[in-house]
Amino acid sequence: MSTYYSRKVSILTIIVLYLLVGVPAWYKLTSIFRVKLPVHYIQSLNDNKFQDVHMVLPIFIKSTIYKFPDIDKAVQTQINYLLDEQKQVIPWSLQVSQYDDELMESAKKHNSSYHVVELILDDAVGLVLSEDEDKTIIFFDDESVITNDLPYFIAQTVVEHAFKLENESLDKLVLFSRAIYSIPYSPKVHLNMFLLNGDGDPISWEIDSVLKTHFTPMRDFVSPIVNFTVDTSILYYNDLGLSSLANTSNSTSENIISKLDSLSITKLNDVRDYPTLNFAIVFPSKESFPGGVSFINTQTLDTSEKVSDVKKLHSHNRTSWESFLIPKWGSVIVNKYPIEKNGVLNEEFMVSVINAFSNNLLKLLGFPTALKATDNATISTFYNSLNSYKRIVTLSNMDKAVTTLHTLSTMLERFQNMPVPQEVQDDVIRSLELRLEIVDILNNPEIGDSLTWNKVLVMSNELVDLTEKAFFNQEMIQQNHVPREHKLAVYLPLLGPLTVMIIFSLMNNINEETSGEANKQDVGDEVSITDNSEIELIPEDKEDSSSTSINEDH
Amino acid sequence: MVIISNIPHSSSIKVILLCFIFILGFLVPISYADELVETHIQNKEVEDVVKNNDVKYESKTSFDPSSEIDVTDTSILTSLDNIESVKSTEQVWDTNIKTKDNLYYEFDESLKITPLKSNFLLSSFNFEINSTKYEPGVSSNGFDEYSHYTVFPKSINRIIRQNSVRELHIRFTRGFWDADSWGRIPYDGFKAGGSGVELWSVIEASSKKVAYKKWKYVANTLSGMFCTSLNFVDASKTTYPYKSFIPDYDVPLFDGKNQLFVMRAALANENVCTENLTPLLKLLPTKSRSGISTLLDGHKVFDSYWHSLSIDVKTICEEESLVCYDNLKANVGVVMHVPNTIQRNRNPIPKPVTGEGLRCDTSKYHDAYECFPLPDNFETIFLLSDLFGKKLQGSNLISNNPSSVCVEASKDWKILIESNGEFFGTQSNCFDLTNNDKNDIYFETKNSSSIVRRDNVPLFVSRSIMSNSIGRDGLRTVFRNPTNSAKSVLYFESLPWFMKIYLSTLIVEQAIDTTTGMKFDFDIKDVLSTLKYAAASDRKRPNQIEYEITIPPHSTIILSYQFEKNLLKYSEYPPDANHGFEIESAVVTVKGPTKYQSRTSTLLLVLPTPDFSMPYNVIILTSTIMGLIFGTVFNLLVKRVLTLEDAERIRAVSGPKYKLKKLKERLLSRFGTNKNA
Repeated sequence: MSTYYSRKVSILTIIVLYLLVGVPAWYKLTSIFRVKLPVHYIQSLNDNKFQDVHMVLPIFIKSTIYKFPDIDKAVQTQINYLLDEQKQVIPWSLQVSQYDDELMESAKKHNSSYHVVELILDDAVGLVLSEDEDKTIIFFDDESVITNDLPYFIAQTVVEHAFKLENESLDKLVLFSRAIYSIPYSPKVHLNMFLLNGDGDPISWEIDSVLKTHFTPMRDFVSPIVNFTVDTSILYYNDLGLSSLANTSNSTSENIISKLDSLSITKLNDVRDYPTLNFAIVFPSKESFPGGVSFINTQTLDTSEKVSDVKKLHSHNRTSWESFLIPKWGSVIVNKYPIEKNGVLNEEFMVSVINAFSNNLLKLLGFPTALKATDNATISTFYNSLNSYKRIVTLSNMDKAVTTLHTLSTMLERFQNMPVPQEVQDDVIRSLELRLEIVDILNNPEIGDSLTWNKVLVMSNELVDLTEKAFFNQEMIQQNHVPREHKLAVYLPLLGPLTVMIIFSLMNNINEETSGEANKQDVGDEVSITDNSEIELIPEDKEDSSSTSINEDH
Repeated sequence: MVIISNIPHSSSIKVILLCFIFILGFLVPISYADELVETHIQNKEVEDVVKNNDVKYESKTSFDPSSEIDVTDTSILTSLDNIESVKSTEQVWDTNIKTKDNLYYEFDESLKITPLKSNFLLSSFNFEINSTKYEPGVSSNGFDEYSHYTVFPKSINRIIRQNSVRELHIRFTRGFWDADSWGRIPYDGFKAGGSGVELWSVIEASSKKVAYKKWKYVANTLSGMFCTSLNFVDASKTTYPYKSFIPDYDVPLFDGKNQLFVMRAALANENVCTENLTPLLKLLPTKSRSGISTLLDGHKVFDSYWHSLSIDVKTICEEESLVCYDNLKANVGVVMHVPNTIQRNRNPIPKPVTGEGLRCDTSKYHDAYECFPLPDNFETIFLLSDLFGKKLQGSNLISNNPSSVCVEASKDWKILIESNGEFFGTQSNCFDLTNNDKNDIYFETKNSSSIVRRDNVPLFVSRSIMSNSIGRDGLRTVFRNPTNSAKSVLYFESLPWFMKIYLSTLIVEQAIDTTTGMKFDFDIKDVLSTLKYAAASDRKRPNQIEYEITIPPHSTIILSYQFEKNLLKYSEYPPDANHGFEIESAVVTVKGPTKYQSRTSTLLLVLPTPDFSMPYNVIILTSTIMGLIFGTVFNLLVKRVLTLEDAERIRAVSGPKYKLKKLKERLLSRFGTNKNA
């Protein structure tokens, strides 16, 4: 009996240890550390990314000659009417107020400004969008006041011209049709400008003066959105693989980019912490193209696309180059003819090239189509819409951040083996808080000066960075490479034998016990119980001797 | 005379004058042409000779080295002009683009070729580039700030500007420089490094910590750029030299609050190969498409006895104008064994020399089966393209100075330049490549052992490891001064942290006068004037020993000290741990009268190596533990202790025999009952 008992005790002890200590310890040691993320909130945000956004933009009406005490209310009614007619995917509205000198002065002190609609009495009705400040000037006549058309005219001007970008962009689900051309938004971008010569003869370009006169103003103005670092270089014996096309007669300018040597193009890339865009002026080799590149067409400059001062220079000129846009890389200008030894690209040549670059630059930076210089709008109209652009980029960043967070939560749901460290949770929560802060600012009608939009843009950039940091958490990605099968492979040799042994010993013990009891009932006197509680079966033929021997033993 | 008598007197004078002018006009070009002919060897035979290298060169026109003709003044250019003019009829230029006279960039290149003893040939390629001038300390983030690059490599510029590097030196050297027979190392050793890769730099920084951070960034970037293992340069390999490698001029400091830090590291076991040469060539504006760099092909450069690639970048500031520019000097030095290289180029798969080709020592017995070979043939004719596999592709076009090739050879050598099948020579053996055609250099001599005498090596230094069984090893350095004057020498040595040095054991082991064989009784203090020692810290800092030693004329001094080898962690051993650890070369700088720098060969230190059977041990140990656990639990759960009788009894009622018996009984009883029925 005692053997049965002790075995039972030991089996039970091991099973208890196995289940109560071993299994929890094993589970604890092998389970993956996963913090919880606000998955439902992220999911609901992703379903309706701008559910809590109602952007309110303050505008101020200033009238110099007539005093209109209720113009703000009248214009507000008209603007509301116009905006209500629209199907707004991202809700937005304008808050019209009377011009406030104190507010404007305090803003000015901080080098900031609000959007002001200035009313000027004139002979006819008209409007001007200011080029150097965030201001809309509306000319009105007495008749428009008498017929009470002025509020509607102001409302129409503001909605359709001054806030054109919001008007056109915020009714779409996709803010920026992130074209294949553009690079992801980054507050800092490096520009590489190359002059490439297929030959080794010395050449030069008047790049410094042209950049300073024609590129610096743009660089300065877009600085709240994007800062550039620029370097220029001259490279010899490099025509981006153009010489390989020397014998192909059927090349067209359309497919030239696909035929340029992608290796040579990528070799020009500069590895930096922030995105790089490249602009290259390529001159073919005189050996490969003595008569010029056949598939480059000479063309008369379309002067309407150029800035006014360039117009004069090139109005009667023909260019012998074509500009090509390489998506997400930059722009290439391929010249038809090789460059002569000691050739110098003078200011006249460079100005047209730099302007072509500037236009392509806007495309590459993903500026909204409304700002493209090809829409008969020059850079000056872009200036006027700068704050609008900041807001659109902010909203776009919010969109991007929510998409990243959603992708993160979906990924973690799919990959249950992937650990989620505490840092990821912290970043996600911080980014959600930051998003709410941005939303608060966007929704607040009382703040809306240019500095606020700068601040919001910076915050949205930070938001994108935070979500990307959470997504690309090093620890999270690294640990995912240890699959569950590996753990099984390690533990199975240990757990397998132990489990099998425990189960079978338990079964054996139960069998023994039941068979022992059965024997006890069936065999009756044939079973003798010894002192050490062992049940022993005695064969029939040895009945006498065995009982004797057992008795002898004890 | 009859004719003259038939014409009037005045007319006769005119005719005579005309004749005189005519004759003069005829004679002058002839005399000029004669001068040309003297050097202008145009005969077809030379070409034939050069092509069939085995035929001995015999020129019918004698070579007169006294007359010097610039290649630019010869007919080559005239013919080139014609080619240009022919081409220009087809060539179309963009008329909108104007040209500017005197457009050139600050780039220079030259090739210096020196025959060495025993049929070796040293080729030294030099390149120098200056950057555009800039004002120091101006941020590139200003809206009006643009960086412009013309010929200076942007990649190098970025490294030095971003990290405030004032000087940067990289050396890739491999092979053996036979100083005994070849003399001094080119450029007095200042453009060669120790075996492997060597990097040192002068960095401007506010503190040592910041400087190290910048240094690490520089090393990592260069590692990627030159495909080297410089990314392994860390604090445990970085030294801060005290006197060696310190620039001998005022290095510009852009910010007065900062300091300059000199940092150095070397990787002795780094292989130098084409992946290091190609990035160097990419730094050049010619991209090895024109000029002397067209000769540089990895297969040929690294198939040599000694090769060294060096890059030196300096920031130079003009005090008057307060503008600075960066200066980059690149050098590629190659020593080839001419007969071997030509043979290998001709027959890449080595074939045994035929019986006729064998050069046997006729003073000894020789027949079809026995031959005592003669030493190398001193009579030689070859072209530069035989060694490098290709010809020089014209000159670089962007520099004001044409690419030049100079051969430093004795008068026993005939050196000519070949261009368009024509050969020219100059007295100085220097050639300016002003055309854009393929050029070659022709070498001919009857005595290749006649070389230009190079300056003797001022000091020989060698280093070796002494092993003993006690547990401590020793490192011995031998300085030999073969000159007539005492030499003051700066010795720099960096040893890995796992060599624990006992500086107290530093002694003058022996000092001998090599002329008389007399021994000096020198104490260590007698020879060393300064000693700077930075002790190693495990995995954080290497040992750094720097001392100044004076070696008397015609004497040998042997210094030695003892060290102990540390054990490394398992993961710190390289995959080929049994090969040993290469210890970088020591650097020896002779301070005067002419500065000379040389490096000792690297050392191989064998550390106690574990048996690297960790996975096996782990499996064994784990299995043992598992077996123990399994056995114990098994015993506890299943095993029973019984007497033999009990066991037999149980077996009798439950064993296989019993079961078989039972089955038999059952079957019998069934069949039995059936029978009865």
